[in-house]
Amino acid sequence: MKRLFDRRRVLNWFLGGSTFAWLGSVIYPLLRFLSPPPEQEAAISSVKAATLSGMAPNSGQIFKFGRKPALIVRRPDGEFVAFLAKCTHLDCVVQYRSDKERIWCACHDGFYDLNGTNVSGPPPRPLDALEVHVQGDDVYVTRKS
Amino acid sequence: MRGFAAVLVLVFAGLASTVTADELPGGECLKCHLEIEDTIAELWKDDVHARAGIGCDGCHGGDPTRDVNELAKRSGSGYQGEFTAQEITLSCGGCHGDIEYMKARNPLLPVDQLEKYWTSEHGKLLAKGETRVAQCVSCHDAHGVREVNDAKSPVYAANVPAMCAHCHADAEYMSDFDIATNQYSEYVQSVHGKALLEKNDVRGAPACNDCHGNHGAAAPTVDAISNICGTCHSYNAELFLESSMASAFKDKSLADCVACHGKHLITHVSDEWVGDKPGTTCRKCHDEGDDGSDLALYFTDTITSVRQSFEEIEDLLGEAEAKGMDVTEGEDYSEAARQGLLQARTLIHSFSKPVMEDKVTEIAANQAAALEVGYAQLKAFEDRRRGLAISTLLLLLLTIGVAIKIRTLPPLE
Amino acid sequence: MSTSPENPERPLLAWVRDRYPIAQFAEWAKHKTVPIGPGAFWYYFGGITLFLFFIQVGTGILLMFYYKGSADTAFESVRFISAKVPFGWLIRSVHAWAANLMIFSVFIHMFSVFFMRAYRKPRELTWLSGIVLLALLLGFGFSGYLLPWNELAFFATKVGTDIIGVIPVIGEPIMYVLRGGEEVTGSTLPRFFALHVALFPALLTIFTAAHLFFIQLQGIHEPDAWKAHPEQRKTMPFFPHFFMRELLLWLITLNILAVLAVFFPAELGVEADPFSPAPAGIKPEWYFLSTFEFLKYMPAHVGPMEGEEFGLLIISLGFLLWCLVPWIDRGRGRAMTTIVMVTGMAILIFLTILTYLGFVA
Repeated sequence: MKRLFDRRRVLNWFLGGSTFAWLGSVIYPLLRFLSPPPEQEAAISSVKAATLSGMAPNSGQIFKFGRKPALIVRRPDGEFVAFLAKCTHLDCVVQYRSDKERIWCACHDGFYDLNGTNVSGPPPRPLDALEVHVQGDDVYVTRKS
Repeated sequence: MRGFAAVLVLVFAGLASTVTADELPGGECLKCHLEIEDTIAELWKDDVHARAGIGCDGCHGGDPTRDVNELAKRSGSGYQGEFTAQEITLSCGGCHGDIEYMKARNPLLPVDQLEKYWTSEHGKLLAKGETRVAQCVSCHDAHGVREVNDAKSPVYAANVPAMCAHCHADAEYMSDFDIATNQYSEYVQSVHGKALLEKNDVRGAPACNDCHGNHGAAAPTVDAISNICGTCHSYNAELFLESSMASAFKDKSLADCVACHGKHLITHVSDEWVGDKPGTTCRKCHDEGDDGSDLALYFTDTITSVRQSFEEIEDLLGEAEAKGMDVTEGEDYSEAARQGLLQARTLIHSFSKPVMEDKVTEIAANQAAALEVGYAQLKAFEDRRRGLAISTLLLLLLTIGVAIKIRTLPPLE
Repeated sequence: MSTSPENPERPLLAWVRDRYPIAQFAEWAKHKTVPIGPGAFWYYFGGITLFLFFIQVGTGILLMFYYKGSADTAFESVRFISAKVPFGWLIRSVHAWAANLMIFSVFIHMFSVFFMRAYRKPRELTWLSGIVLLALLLGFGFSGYLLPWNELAFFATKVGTDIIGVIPVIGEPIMYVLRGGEEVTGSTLPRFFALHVALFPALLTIFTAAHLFFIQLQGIHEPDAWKAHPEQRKTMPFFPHFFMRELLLWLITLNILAVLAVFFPAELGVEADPFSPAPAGIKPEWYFLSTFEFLKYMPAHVGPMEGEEFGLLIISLGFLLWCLVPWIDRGRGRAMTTIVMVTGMAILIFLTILTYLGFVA
């Protein structure tokens, strides 16, 4: 005899419903997980630092390499060089001085040439160099291999 | 003087060919003085002049081929044992001031030391006959002269302060001269002294000569000071010289940099220096309520509030981290803000409210971002617990359902 | 839709029946039973271990969508998963906790099997395949631990592979191959990753299939007492009785994992730097602690051997005896059985104490 509310049906519906709901609470996180988040991982192996069209010769700009600040410089001859922007003296962030064609640290007037070598002032060591690869209009910076 | 120099040149030229790798130049003079264990002779092996092939007679004259004292030092041999202070300068300067001579031997060495020396306080006094001043040998020694970058040389950067202090810190020695004798004791307590003498930063930290000059040693004049401090602290100097304070200082004949920071006892700056209360550096000149004091008040209030924000950030990020949440992005923002604070303190030297306002806006943005990360993580933490509660509740319902289902199964035998 | 007189309401089932001999399978399934009794609770742990393995495979595959297995990128990718990927923290922490729970569960399973003497004939191969599975799980734990490439993992791996290098003759070559060089470097990581996601899972699948196959063929071991007292024999059908209960237990385990993930999330630590000195107090994971502590207590030399070599020898002998227990205790003499049981209990207590000491040291 099939009554609408007999115990067996109610139990089965309850079981089915709670299974469904519980499964939903498991599948929802899994589906959200699979869909990639909008901000991509802070690339630390290869970063697009600049574009050819966006940087004139004899200019420099700071960009983020992983979590560290880095400096990319377009030399007067058009070639690119890149370094980690941490001054080797007391860790200030360096910048490019187009008037001197040198990399400069404002904190104690330290200078580096465009090979990253410390040429004047207190810095005891050269800057850490990074590798630059140009692909089309894009300029990529990677760790030194 | 020239004749003397000519004699030296000839003698040196004659001796140059006799130097070998194992043999120190000095001939019989050296041999005898070594035998009697004369310290002068023992120092000779470390001397740069010895390595260059100059023998004892290069400066002292005499005949190095004779092993009998009286013959080696006979009259006519050009022998001079002791030198007066004046004679020392001429002896050293005779070679070191000769451009052609030095070009042939060490082209990189400057040749203006003696010229500069006569402009220095030491030189001026010596020219007037005062022999108690420093001359070449006082700093460089006579017989064990080492290169400047030799760590054992008295003129090696780290050794310079103690060397100058030898006279300048001796109150008794300096009693006839009208200058203070506390410079060395002040210097060793200063940040420069500690950097050079304790942390051994020979590249970065200044010794006496970096500010006073080497051979032309003199106290910097008042208008030279910001240029001298500015050789390293270039940005601060640039800001100051462009600010309204520069002309004010000039009018009042106040020493730039030194008026606030001191000259020898330069200590770490603290944020408490800035302000309008008595005891602050600004109050040395400004009265409460004048434009300067108002600006100082603005500076100190701004920096204080920035620092308080840092405490708030640390607490918040610490709380989130203790709960197992990742706060590295917040730490990155906080670090950027700290760099900004460092720059803000330098920007005080512009004595300009708009300049400081721009920087503070940037700092505040980074601090706000750090706080946002902290709050977001705490919220995420609460969200996780809530999500867990919901899914546990659903599981509980499911458990009850399954348990009941089990009970409805056919019974076991 | 093939409806027929036999299956008026189940067309799909009829379709399958027409093609595959599921009738036999259904018959077998209906008759599969599980013993009931005081020790019945322990029977669930094999299944729990299997369930946790499924969880590991699932969360592991999900993690592989974001994990980047090279020394420059590993740490940052794990941080990305924990911080940025939605529910990444959940997947990662569940994976870490399930690893620990799985090894804990497999030890419970193994010791309960031991004390019930289920290793005896005809189940010797089931026992041996189980030991292989234990070794593989420990291998999973060891290889997986390095993957986040943080300081603790790096140095724990260094210490662990150092110990492998102590094995005479073959130890050093094995260590060299494991490390991908003399030292633990960026070359070690890809190997450990390959072991963790490819080789070990393949081997584990094969041996688990064998292990379960043997059990299906021979049925679940029944308590010794039933031989003497057949009237005590009571069983429960696997489907649906035991299965439902097992399912319930699995669901509860899953929830426990979620609770652990929320309240005790997996740590990120500090990125590994091969050039920095080892921090003080490096310890391996808890399941290797007893071995680690044991070796610490060895004197510098024992006879002609290095203390650590001797320690490893003892451990290896003990392990060998453990593997051979089905042939040592064949159930023919009470004396031997008692000795084996007491020794087993002693070993369990010994391992527990050593693990505890390893924690507090």
